[in-house]
Amino acid sequence: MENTVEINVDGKDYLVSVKAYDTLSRVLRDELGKFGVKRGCDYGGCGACTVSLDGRAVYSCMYPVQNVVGKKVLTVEGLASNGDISHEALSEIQKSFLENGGLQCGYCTAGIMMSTKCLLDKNPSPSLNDVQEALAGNICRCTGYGRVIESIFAAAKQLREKK
Amino acid sequence: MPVFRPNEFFLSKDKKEVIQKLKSEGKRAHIIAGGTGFYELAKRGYIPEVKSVVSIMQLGLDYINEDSDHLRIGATTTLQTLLESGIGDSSGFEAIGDALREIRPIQVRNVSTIGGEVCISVPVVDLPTALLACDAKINVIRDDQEYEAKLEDFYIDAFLTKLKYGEIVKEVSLPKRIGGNLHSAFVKIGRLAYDFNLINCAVLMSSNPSSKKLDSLSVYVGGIGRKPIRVSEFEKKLLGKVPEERDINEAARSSFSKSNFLPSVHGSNEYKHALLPVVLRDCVMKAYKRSLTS
Repeated sequence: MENTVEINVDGKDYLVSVKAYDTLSRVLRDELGKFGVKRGCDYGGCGACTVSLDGRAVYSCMYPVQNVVGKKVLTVEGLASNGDISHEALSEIQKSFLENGGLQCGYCTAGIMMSTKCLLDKNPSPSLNDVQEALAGNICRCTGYGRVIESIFAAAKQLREKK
Repeated sequence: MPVFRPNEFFLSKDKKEVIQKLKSEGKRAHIIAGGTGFYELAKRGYIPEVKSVVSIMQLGLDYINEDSDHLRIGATTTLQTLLESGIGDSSGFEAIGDALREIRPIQVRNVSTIGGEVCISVPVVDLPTALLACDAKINVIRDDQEYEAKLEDFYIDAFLTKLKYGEIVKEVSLPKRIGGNLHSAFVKIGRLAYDFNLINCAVLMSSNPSSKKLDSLSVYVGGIGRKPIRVSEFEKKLLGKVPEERDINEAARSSFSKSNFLPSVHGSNEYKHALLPVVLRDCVMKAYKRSLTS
């Protein structure tokens, strides 16, 4: 049995047809074409699917989409201004990851950037422990996290200076 | 493995409608709150008979209130909201703060609810052990009535609580008398920082300010049985004494020497026997240090 629900994603409202127990990641990717939201483990363990829900990082692979009604979803595709992908339009977080080598294969990166977005919005001056806690749910097999953490601190500094 | 294919996701702001739905569907319906525990049950094929997923997220149960005697935490309050409230930093409730900080990652804490943690009733979750040590109760809604029950009496077995069809846990309450010179602590050992527990432990105690000996002690352990258990025999061996590592080890060894612990692929009965004295020591000493420095 399918329901039609209205959800707000990256600043726009969408009417989507969903099954009884559809997950947010399935709907974001298959119904709305938000392929920036990655499917990693599909089990709430790797963090590749992380999105922001009302400013809080959640695993979209295990979030029931029908609980999203009335909330705002932000995906990695909503980080840049107006969905533009030119360098100037990228967010400080995205620029920082590019400039500081905070990615290799890139598969975990979308999820890590969304965890970063949620962290820095709440805590513009995080400590190393704060960053580590924020990243505890995002697995990266490539980078060893060193440059990821450098990218996050660089982004935090840029954002503070911008304010 | 059975496939989970429900027909319906029932979402309502009306408690009566939700209760009626649960009653009429019986075992074909299952409550969902945040959904993290539900997802595990569904993905692992444990609930193939469920055809109606009944959400309680719009029933207005996300609150933290207090009255003269109790702190009252609504069932759909997320673990992160509870952590940020600071309840777990106050005297007597430190075990709750410790447990919340050990439940990782933040993506799970932002979604998991206290009601879900309490109701899923599996040995590997953490918050119930801390709530038990802090003498938590639950309030349950049934039709037009509410009733209160001690959390300790709520668990029957793994995956089995006393909740009947048509009942919803409304809130978890904590007695405000826990405070003052009472202090608590929670310790967990898992394979990884963000893993379920192999063993966890929560302790509530008070110590005499002049003699430093333990006046009161309650200790709960999770992960060794199919539900968290109070380890009264261990408590008796430490009451009236200044806790020391040697005494704790001896009390742990003698209290559990004949016990068979719940084995899993990550921890055998023998391994958990080796872990338990460590967890008990760390938890008792953590709470004791807090009682000395207050």
